[in-house]
Amino acid sequence: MKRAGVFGLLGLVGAGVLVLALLLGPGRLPAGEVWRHLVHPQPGASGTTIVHGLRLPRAVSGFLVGAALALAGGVMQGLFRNPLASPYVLGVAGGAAAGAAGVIALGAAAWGIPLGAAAGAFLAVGLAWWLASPTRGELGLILVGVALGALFSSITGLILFFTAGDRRFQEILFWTMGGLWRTSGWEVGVLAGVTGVGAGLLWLWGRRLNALALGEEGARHLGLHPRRLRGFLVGVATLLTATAVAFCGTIGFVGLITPHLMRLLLGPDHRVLLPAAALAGGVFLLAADTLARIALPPLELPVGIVTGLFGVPFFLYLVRRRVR
Amino acid sequence: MRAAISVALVLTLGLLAVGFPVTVVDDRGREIVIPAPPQRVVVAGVALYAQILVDLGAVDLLVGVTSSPDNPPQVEGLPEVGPAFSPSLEAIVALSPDLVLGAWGEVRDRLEELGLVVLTVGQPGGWLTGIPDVLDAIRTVGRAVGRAREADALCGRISEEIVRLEAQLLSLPPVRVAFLYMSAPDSPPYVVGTGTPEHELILRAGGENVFADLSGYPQVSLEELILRDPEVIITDPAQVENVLGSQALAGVAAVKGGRVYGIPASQVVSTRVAEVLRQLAELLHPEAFAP
Repeated sequence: MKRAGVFGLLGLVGAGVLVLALLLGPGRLPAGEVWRHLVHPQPGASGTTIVHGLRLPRAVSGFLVGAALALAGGVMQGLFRNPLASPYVLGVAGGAAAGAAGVIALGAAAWGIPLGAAAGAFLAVGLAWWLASPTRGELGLILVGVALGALFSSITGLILFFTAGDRRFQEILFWTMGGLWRTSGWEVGVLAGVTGVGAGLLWLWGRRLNALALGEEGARHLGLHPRRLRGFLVGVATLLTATAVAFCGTIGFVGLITPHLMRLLLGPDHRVLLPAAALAGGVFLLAADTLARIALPPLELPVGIVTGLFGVPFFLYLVRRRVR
Repeated sequence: MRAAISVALVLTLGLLAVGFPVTVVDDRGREIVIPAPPQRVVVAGVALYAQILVDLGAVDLLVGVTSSPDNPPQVEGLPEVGPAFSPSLEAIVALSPDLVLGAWGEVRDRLEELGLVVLTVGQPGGWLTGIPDVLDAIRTVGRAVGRAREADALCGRISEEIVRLEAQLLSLPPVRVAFLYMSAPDSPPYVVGTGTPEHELILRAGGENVFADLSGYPQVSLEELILRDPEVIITDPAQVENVLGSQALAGVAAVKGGRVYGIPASQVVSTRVAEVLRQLAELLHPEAFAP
């Protein structure tokens, strides 16, 4: 059956990519060493630090962030019935960047930055929801969200202008480039928790998200409350995106392309589409990050560049073949 | 014979170890404890740290550096851990360092989390704003690697040179200088204000910064530059042509008089700062240095 085939393939590729992510890197450890440090960690040995302290958390983060962004993207595309919708369409990325930039500009401690980013993200979406409330349907919301995203980007630009020539400028730019190496220990735990909860909720609501595709009237006839449902879904998607962005900066393309890819392969039923998107998003980002690490050692390419360079051509191929 | 060499070796190592564990204060004001003389040092920040180690005769302690055009030639061939603004955590850890110099921000946080000793000096965040920061860097790094005597000697030499130079310039009237960066002809330049190493250099070399009412590196309009009419313009060597080739600036005193000179930013915050200062002083006051 086709679905089983896709999930099976994703699982296999995922496992393979995970193995590669643990084996490869500038540290250049032979496979036997990696296995040894993995199962018998020796505190203090550089090999253990590399495998357990660096590669493993990074691989797990990569998978979780990819899954979170893909889930959020899938929800946005289903909600707005718009192929251009991404997890960032309601101004989440803009708000998060402005929040992080603000915290950095004020010279706050390192742990304040994810908090600032998350606060900015929720502020942007909350503001969009409130400003769009007189409108009916989802068009108003997406328009307000796009506008607010632009506003928050301008604010970030202003902050950059005033901190130019300063270490803070570098820090802010650095943050916006995104990176999966920042998370460790408790941060991975938070990511896992949020992604797990989000995925679970979205799976339970998959059928309702399907109903929204019938439009405002259609959904109402099925006994749903479209506005409230939209609110919940936006809330969950924002939680997923804000958490991912707060810890790892804005990583593009994963949330936009992965749900589309899965829809082309598996159809629009969200009960199948969303889990597949989550799995595919996680594998895709993990693969992109591994490539970013090993392409030009010891340079680490920003992972957002790799997702664009490699994700887009494959996606274009699929579009040309499948969209008739 | 072999016994004598062993004894000498043990004594030397012992002497080096005297004074350890060493406690130094980093840019955050935090105390960093160095338990034993470092043998494997990695520079994970700006090239200044590599320069300092070379000048202190400690280049053999280096096992890794960031890839920077300002690295001293003696570190060529050493493994590189990435650019100074974004070094690779794994590359650093793989070198098993017992001391990491110059890391800042999240890179530093992660390295410390992984149990490595990280030392960064300067203003909070690792920013170096002038000669006092450079001297402090030399002394702190010198103590951290067990070369305190050499570090004090180097600082003494640099300070002496600077004081001697400033004495020569005491009675001379200050020259009006603008230190700026202009990426293309006729584009609004980024000028140097107070609180920067370039500003300090201007003052010590007997100059007056025409943009001393601003701070940091603000971008100003060309009109502002024309209005302030500096007698001398200093910029990056690659950008001298941009200034000379600017139609808008043709009337500025510095351009008319051909007094537009290039000094690489990398030398301003380096162990060569005394030489750079002399160079600048000679450009501003050629009459004081005529043979």
